[in-house]
Amino acid sequence: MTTRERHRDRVEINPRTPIEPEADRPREGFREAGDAFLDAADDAIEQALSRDARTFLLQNRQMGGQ
Amino acid sequence: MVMGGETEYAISARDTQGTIVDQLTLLARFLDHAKRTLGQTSTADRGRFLPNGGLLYLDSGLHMEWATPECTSPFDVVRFLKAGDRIIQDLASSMTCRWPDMSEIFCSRSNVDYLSKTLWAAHESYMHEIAPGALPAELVPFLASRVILGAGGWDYRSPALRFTLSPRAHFITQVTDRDSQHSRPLFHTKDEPLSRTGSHRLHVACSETLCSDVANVLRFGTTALVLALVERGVRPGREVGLISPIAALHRFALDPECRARAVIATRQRLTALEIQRHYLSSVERNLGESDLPDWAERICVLWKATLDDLERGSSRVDATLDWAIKRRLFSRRLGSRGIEWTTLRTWDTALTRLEHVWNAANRDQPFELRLVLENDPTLTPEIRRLTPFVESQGVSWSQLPEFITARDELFELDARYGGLDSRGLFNALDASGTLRHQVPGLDVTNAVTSPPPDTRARIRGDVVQRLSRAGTKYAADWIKICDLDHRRELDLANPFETQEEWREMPAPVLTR
Repeated sequence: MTTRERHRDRVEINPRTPIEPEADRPREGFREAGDAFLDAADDAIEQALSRDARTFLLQNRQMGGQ
Repeated sequence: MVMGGETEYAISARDTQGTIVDQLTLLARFLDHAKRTLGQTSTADRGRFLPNGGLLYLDSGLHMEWATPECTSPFDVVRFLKAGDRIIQDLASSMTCRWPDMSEIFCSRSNVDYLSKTLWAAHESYMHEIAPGALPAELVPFLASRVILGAGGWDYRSPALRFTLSPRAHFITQVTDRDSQHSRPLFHTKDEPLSRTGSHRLHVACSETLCSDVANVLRFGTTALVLALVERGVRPGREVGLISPIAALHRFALDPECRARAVIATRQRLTALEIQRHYLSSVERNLGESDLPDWAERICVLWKATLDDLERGSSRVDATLDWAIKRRLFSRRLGSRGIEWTTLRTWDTALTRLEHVWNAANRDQPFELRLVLENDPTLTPEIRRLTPFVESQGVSWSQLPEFITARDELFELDARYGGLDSRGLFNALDASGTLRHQVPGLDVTNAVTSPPPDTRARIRGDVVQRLSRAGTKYAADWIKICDLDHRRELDLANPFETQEEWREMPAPVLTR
């Protein structure tokens, strides 16, 4: 492979591509479903999170798998 | 076509004082509890086959693992994977009654421990009749681009936060390898067939556990169809052979908009979606042929719809595919902390640079974010050099502690996403009715107790249940069951075996 080909083989993401999720942007026809999702997400996150993430992560350490 | 899947679970527990229960103690208790609760009379120490024909065991990486029975459709594989989730969670829930000193047991389908930077996989097995040497050329572009169905999460190599469609993808370092325990290939070539019919077994190792039914059904269905195509003599991989497959896999994984391109042998540059569409077209051209499975058209419809949605943008799949659901959750949580998604890239760039500087000066001690907070002298000049860049992005070093706190929280969210109980984020969202991931007709309740009807798993499931009820000691593996009390054995080397024919046992040599 030539140097030029290697260069072309690099990651190419259009700089104008939005890199943040589109979730919070209103979409016609999806707004209502999106709001319901976000409400449910807020509730689920509140229920799930431990309030002490570092301790949770330390408690949940796992051995390497295959 | 016979196929099956494996799930390795993350399990942890706290005692009533809030102290971590040692992992080995927890796993020993879990195994013991499984033996007593499930009532099997197998003589194996590390696991046992259940009446539904699947295998529950402790794997060599010390994770509780569920392997589905042999199935003939992707819909069945997903049904039995979900049955495994239910079996594991039921066992975990009832453990606290037996060991009241354990106050909380957490089981998750997550595949990453971000603190230890360790990962575990969700393997797939497919029976096929293709010469193993022909597989890489046909399969590698497909598997590298299949990352668009990944579980999502964080690239464990980043000292900051770098979103990826598949954490597992960055763990993969080679295309194939014979070793299944130490190397990290897309698929293994050890070809342990688990049958004596002359067929081979493809063991795919590049995926992680998925919660979404759509993603899961597509993962197994599309892979099985590509194999079926190659069995017919079609060669779809050659037209899209990647020059650098592993680099392409990593690149595709880091682009949620699915626009990243990789060079193929013809020097064209294709996206993951274009490669997937190439395989889809190849399968579609062969629909209706008698040697393609009867579910092929249903998978193609779902495959095409998902690729079309991804083409239109990730927002079209953010209630369907795991990585997109997770990304939306992560974004929401960052937003609630006042952190912009774009800030992640700034911290990733700056902290990766500092990690390089640290590693160049300190080969023995790993880089940690506290070194930046403490303004370690090794890093001070580079921190100073990076300051204009960081500030130009609207960020300041004084915000780093807040970012680190958010980072831990997002790692926790990732682990909580796959939680098996009702507080698991995926389960909670599913219960709220706001996801669109369901595939109709997946009867999980039946799969918990009953084997698939059309493979040797039916015989295995019936026999282990009958022997256990009779109190008969037995040992079993995927291709044989040995009745130790009556010194007879049942040969299940044919995956489609329908007859239960016992013969005298020469010597007990099996372990499960």
